[in-house]
Amino acid sequence: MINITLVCAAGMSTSMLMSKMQQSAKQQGIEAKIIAMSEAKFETYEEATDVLLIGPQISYMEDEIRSKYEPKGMKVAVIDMIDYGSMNGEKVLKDALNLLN
Amino acid sequence: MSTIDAKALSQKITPTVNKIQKSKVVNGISNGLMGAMPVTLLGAFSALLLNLPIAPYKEFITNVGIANALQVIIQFSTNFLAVIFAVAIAGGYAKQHKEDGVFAGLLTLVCFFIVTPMNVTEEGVKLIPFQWLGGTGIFTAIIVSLVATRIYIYLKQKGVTIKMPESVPPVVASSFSSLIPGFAAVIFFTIVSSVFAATSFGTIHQFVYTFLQIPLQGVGGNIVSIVILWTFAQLLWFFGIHGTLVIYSVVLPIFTAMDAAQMAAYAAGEALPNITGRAFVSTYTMSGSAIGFALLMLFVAKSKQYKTLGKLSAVPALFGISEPLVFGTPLVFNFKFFVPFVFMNGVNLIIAYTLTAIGIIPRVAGFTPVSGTPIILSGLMEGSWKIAALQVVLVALSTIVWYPFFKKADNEAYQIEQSAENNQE
Repeated sequence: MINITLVCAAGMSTSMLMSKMQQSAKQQGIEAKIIAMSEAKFETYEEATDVLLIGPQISYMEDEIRSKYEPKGMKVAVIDMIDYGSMNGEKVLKDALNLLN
Repeated sequence: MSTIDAKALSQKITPTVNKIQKSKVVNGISNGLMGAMPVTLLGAFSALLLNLPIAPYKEFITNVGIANALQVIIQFSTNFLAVIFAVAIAGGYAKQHKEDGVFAGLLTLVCFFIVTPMNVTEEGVKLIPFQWLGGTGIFTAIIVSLVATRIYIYLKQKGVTIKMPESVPPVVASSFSSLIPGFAAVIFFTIVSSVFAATSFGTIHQFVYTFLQIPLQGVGGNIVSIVILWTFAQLLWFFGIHGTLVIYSVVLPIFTAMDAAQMAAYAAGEALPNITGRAFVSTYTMSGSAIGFALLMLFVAKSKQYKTLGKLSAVPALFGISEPLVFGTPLVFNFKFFVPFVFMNGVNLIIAYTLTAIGIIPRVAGFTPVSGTPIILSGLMEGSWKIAALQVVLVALSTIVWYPFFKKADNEAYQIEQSAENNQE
């Protein structure tokens, strides 16, 4: 089971990408728990996260988020702008899984 | 070439933006205000239900007693926002310092009421007037919550606490450790309260309201600042930064206080005090005023590229979610669309402001918009079909303004696609 968490400003647009990624994971038979939330909410999110993906619109928070969560063993990355805009769930999921390998 | 310049510039902006966003005070306030959102909405929906402009309905809810019940809810939500924000912001700010939010909230509640005037009637009944508990008290609430929480946390983290012997259970020891820092905050505000009682202001509320809240609302709430700020927000979006979020981290307290006053007046059926505010800006700048562009791509595009983008981005854009549009097109670093993308917000705001000021369009009711509320519905919720109609007109205008930019880009993409197909054959 892989836990992927997406964060952005309000968790609205990442939730669209989230459902695309869930579809893609289901099609490929990958067992993954993918959820989206706001960056503020993630601070108090207690469940496991293996890969933390940041929406490009808050990429200016990348350093801060990295220094906070990488020591906890999470893989952190900013989602590619074009993949994000085109809601390419398959590609984002693939990139996320590659981070773990 | 220009793309590279833009990226370099973006890297210069990023640290500053990050600094504003990282501030514990800013984050404490905005997290607190966000946390209090359900209460704000409760008041907003009650006011909407109370004021639906349908005569038989109004008569019905008055006779059955629903109107009265709604008024009670409004009294303890909309007209009680200063108290609610004080507790919520104290909690949000304490969490930024990794301290217990509940105790900070309680402490702030005590300090807030210490500086709030209390009346005693001739029969000796003690009363707290609602005067400062709603919109007018919001700035004092913010100040009290930040200062009280800061005093408490500072002393606690410095170790100015009552040390218990080791045999005392940790739970008991920790409640004692909050004692001195808590006392210090309470004593501080008792002094503040007596100092202001000795001045002609009488209370810190009156002072803050006159010298801080009113001037700041004048500076932050006037149309010139708003146009500049929201154009700047679009400029940040152009660099791929969530500009709206950044601007709100600065103006949120001002806008929240303005909308609170607006909602209270709306619920009471009084004249609305403000033209602008958060509700105003959100109502008239949905999706960066680029909805017209999304519609053009969906219905008019010849090229596959823009047609696909239209299918992807139009529906979210109508719900105020602009990310697919911004990052999919992309509008980020894309000089082809720089002019409409950056300046349409300002145009919309000026038009909406002018029409409201001369009275053609009613003032917005000040309801905090829930993200994801679709256009037209978000306008109707501001109290009038005319507001929703203006939203539609502005979308039409945005379609016209975006058209030449869109057409040029679409033609280019179409030609590239055609020649690519020809080459394959």
